Amino acid sequence: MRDALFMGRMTASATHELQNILATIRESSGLMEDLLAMSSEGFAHAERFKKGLTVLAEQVERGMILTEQLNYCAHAPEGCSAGADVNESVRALVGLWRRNAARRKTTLVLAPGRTGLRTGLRAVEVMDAVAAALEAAIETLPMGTQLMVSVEEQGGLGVVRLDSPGYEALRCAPAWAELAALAKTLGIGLSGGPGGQGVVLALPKPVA
Amino acid sequence: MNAKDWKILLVDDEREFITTLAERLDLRGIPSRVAFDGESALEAIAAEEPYVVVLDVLMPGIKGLEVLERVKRTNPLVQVLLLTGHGSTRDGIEGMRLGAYDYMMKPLNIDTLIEKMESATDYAMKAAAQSGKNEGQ
Amino acid sequence: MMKLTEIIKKPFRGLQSDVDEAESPVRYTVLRRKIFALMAAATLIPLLAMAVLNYYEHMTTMSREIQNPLRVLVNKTKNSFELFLTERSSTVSLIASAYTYPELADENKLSRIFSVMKKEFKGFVDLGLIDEHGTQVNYVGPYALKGKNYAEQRWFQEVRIKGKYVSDVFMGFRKFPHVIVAVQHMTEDGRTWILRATLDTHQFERIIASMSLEPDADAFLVNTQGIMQTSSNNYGKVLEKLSFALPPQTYEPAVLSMVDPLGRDVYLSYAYFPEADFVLMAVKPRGSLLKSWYTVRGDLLFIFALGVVAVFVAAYRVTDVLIGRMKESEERREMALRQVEHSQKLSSIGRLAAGVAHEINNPLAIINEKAGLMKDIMVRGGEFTAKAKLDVQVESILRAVERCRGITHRMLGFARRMDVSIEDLDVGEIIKETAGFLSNEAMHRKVDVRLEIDPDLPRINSDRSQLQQVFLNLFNNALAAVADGGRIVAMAREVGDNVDITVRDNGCGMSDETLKHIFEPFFTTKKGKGTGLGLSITYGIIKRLGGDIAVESEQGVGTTLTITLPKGQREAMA
Repeated sequence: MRDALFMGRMTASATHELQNILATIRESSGLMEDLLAMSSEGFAHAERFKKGLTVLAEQVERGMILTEQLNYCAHAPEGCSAGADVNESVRALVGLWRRNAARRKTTLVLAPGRTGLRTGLRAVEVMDAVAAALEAAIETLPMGTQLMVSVEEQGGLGVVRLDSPGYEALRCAPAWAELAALAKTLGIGLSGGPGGQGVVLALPKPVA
Repeated sequence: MNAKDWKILLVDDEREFITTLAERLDLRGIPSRVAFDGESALEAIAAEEPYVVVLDVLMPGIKGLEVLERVKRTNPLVQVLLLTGHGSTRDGIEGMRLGAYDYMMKPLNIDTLIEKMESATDYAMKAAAQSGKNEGQ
Repeated sequence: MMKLTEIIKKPFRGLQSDVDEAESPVRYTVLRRKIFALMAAATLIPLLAMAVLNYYEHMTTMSREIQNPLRVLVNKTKNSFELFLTERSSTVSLIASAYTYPELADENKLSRIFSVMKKEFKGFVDLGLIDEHGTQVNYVGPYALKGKNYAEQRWFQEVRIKGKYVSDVFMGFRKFPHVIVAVQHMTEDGRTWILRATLDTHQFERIIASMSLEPDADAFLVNTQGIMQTSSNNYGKVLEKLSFALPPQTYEPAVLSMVDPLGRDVYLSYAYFPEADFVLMAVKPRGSLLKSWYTVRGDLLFIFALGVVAVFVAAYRVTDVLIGRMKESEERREMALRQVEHSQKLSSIGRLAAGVAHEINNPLAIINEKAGLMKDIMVRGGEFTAKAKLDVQVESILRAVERCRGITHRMLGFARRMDVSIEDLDVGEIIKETAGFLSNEAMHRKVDVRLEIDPDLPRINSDRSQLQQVFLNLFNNALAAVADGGRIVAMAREVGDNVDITVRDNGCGMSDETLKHIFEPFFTTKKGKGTGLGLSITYGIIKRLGGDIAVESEQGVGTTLTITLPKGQREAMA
């Protein structure tokens, strides 16, 4: 755990630095756009440049998002007395997981819930559990489908729900064992979704 | 050795990256083809027999290392330069074990890339000539 | 002794081994049974012992309590009898000595004396004077017994010898039970006479009645021949034979517990008279006496039963709580274990984070290419107004990407620190394989790569992929340093407890200034070139694996890098 926290701190400082640098790139490309707009006479490739700058801006954004996610991960092992924000944790995880899902040509859709919904778990624990559930779901779902992850509130508990595949099929997935073990350790309730579709993870309430 | 004859195939799912790279190579007089995933890369290799394939390790679908393995089985003369994320030495080493010519980390230095391409093309051409001779005998 | 300790130890040993092994539900039932039995036994055995002791103690106390009053009563009554008899015989004795023979022989006088006697002492029936020949010379009483001769009777003989006589109860001429008290008097001139009084045994009945016994109890006098002297309720009428054997003789009152001829359990309290031929007996059935004991015994049993029930309930509850706690603590321990395992694995999130760190390279690579392309275009395109300014920005972007590359590099460095996996390795084989990766380039550039590996090189414990990375770095650096046609020599040999690996090239070498900084992070002489990680990373890895790295270099002559690795894995620096 100390290692994770240490690594988190190092990573956090690194991502912070990355964000600064990406910001300077954004500034540079913005400035270049301005320069092209003002005085591109005599420059044959102005259009090509402009297109390039758009790509630059896009990629800076992409880098920003990734560093943010990484930054979230870096802080995820830290405990917080008020508990972790369920939406933020799940959003971060889904963001991280998109690439994994893309390998199986599965699209992840996130339906966030009420803002400020919290759990007693640490962010990294929420992410771990949802990751295990996603793993099981991805193993079970056919290639090229869509998987919806929603955050909801049920009886005051923060709940994360995957809408597919069938609960019984999920329970047969090899990754289910890990999810079940995690759930037991973390005190997460596992049950089938409405109509036996998907799985519902009921996260424990914040202590306070 | 004329760079026009290098016969390069660039493979990466990051379209923006690979097309820009192709454009830059083109500016330097190095023609190249691009493929955006493992499947079409394998098709292109089978169809055109390039000397050198620049191959990204991380791709959806057929992964870079798998493409490498298959290429080495079907077209052993094709030399593969692997692209890995920076710091992913493990993938690089694994690639070397599977018979990659060399590996490079992203982001690339284009001059280093061209050096390696040249070296790999040279190697591939010689190997082709050698095997042609052997076949001829 | 051994056996006892074993027995005591055994259940506990059983408990312990059960806690350590076996799987849960069955184990807990067995454990529960054992703890329950142990606790019940530990409480019930002393309780039972106490109850038994208590029972007997109580019983003896109770019977003593019952017997004592009986003994006292018999003693008192015996004393009453004795007093009665002594008084009567003393009276007769007094009269015998207070009056002269002629006075007693005087019919009127004797009659007067007798009337006084009867007035003072109840029970006298008659009074007679008998001369030394046994003839009754004078008589006062309801019967006409004057002149009757007693010389042949036993009591007469006895009184002549003993001087005093108290008879058993007998019917005699009078046809009702009576006792004779006779006293012989001797004058100075040697004449003797006997004064004889008859006592009505009705007085005996009265004394016995004064004992005020319960209806089912019995008290009576019996003589030493077992002839009833007073009537008994259950054991015979007066002068009949006592229906059971006489108890052993004792003048002190004693209590016996026996079964009487009626088949009842009774206490027999009795005492022999020292002066007379009587035994006083009081019989009380035990049933009535022990009634209070039975209630006490019932109470005792009830309390004992209550205690047993309480013990069982308590043992059950305590066992329940104990097992519950045990289960709970075990679950908690298991949970903690799993949590440790979980945090050690650093979970999928760690892996995902590493994936993201890698993925950051993608936008960076695109930015790099786009900026590079812009630069290319500008280099190849003509002059235009904003060219210089754009140039500055493009350069700035390219520098920024270079910095990012350094950061991701560093970041993945931390991640790598987390997963060192030690195994038993053949260093020589790793060197050969790694050198093989570079054979293409070496061949192409006609670089002579020579491996001199000691065939007896011992195997070491280290991390394979980390070592491979180190060797790859060293070879790459050497390749970069040598000119085409140059030479690289790699040697591996055992030195003491270590394995030394040396990579020597005949390349350009390094300046002293460069040597000073060579292990600093991000220091490189070939900006952006090569695939190898910097020597600082190599240094870090080697230190982590518990080894050391040294460098010698001379400009224009070449560089020698020596890595020292311990044969066994030492605890690496963090």
